[in-house]
Amino acid sequence: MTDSNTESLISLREVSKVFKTDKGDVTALENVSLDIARGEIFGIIGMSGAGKSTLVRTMNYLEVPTGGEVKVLGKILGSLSRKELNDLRHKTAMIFQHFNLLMQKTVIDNVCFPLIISGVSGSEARKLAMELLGLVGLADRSGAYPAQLSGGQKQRVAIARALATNPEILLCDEATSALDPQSTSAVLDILREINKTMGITIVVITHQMSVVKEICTRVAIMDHGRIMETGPVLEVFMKPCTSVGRHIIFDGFSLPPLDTDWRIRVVIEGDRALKPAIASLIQEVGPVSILYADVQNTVVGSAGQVILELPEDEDLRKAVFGYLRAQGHYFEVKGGHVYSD
Amino acid sequence: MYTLTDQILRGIWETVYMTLGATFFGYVLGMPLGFVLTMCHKKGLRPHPVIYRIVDIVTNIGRSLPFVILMVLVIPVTVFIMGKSYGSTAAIVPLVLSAAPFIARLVESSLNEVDRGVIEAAESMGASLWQIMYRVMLVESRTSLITGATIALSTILGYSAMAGAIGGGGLGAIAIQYGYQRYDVKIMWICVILLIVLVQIFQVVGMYIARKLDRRIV
Repeated sequence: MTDSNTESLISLREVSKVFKTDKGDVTALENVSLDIARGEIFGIIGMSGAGKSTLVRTMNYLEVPTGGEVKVLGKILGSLSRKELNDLRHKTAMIFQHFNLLMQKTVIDNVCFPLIISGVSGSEARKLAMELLGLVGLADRSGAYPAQLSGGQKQRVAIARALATNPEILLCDEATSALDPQSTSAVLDILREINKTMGITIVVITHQMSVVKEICTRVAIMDHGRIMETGPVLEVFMKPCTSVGRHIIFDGFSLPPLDTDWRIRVVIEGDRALKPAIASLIQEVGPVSILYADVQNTVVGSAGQVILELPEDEDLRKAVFGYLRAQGHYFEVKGGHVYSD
Repeated sequence: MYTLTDQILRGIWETVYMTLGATFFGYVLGMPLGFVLTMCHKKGLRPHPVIYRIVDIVTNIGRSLPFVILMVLVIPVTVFIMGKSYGSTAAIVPLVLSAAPFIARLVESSLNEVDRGVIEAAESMGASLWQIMYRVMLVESRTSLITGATIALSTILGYSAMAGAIGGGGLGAIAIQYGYQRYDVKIMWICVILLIVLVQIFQVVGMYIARKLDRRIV
């Protein structure tokens, strides 16, 4: 516990996972190294089958890696006994896409469950469980059974249950993927809130860009069992530097493709966003058309991006490029070629 | 000398006694085996191919032995445990041995119905193996387990009728005695109808409890 800013709560070193199946070996994770610091909301995004769920499960050893080292809360998971691992798991809670509540137990009994198994007395557990249900806004449904709740309510019960043992880490495996937009934003609000007030470090696995945008501070892009790029959300969203990253991010935003030599994507960030960048370009260089424009607001800041269609004129293009470079804008052309200062 | 009514009443009692007794001890033996089959399966929580294979083969052998033959085969075991080889209490021994493998399979299939996700959630919370078995699998599968138990009861009731053939008593014995040996079809039919009624009662009560306890239905 030296420097709280750099303290890494979860640290993966060269983690691999190979599943042995009848049809041969399947590599789910390949040499994944990752550090997640205390207080972060860290997103891991990728297509289905990219290995996201396997990756998050190595962080509480629901999946035991076939190679590499996982260190969580200062403990190397591979070196722990079953009992020690179970004790550690009280501090690393998890929520799931399909909620995974006990269907035969009431809401309050579900929230009590992790407390009961860690040896807390029944009455004490119920008291704490009621508080947590209040926190997620479901105190009035404590006697209901999960089958009587909506998806969003079930996930909120699951969050209350996850918080019961006062964890330091919350792992979220596609926690909003089965929810409608309204329930999704309610769940994300709760996650943001518990991160802020309780200081819980959150790892979010998702294929939804919007989720990462709304709550994450840093993000990793995964593909074929490997981490392709990692960085602050805004950086990765605006300036993905791998083709996989570009594909996932741009498809996620439904950007028009840069498929001709006359299309460019300009990123406008920082204080430059306040100036009329494109208007000045048009005024000073010449006419260009705007195919697409948006502003991405993330928890760590905002940036805009514009896709321009240039007239098919080589001289004008050179002039536009010259202007953008002189202004210090980051821009990208067909084939992923990037200009930046 | 007993009257016929006395005999039939006694037969009903013996049948119920054998059935409930054998089902109870069948579960004492079969339930742990069912857990072993589920847990040691290659997709279970503690995969163990060797233990799984052994229990798997033993239950298959137990299930493929016809009850009438098993009953005779295990007479030495019956004598060892009960001190005698005849009577309703003694008949419980072969009934249990025959029912346990069957019950193990029923329990195994009920436990396998438990949502993997719920078990995974319990693991993620740091639940031990025992806590998962006791507080998750048993609780979540209770409807299916009770449904299974009603099937077990009906089957064991059927077996208990055969136990009559080697002196186990019960309605089966009366049916065989009067119907087969004395060609008194009327008495045989009375016994058969009583057996059907008993199965019906087990079935209705079992299903009622199962449904009452199921919280998945809104």
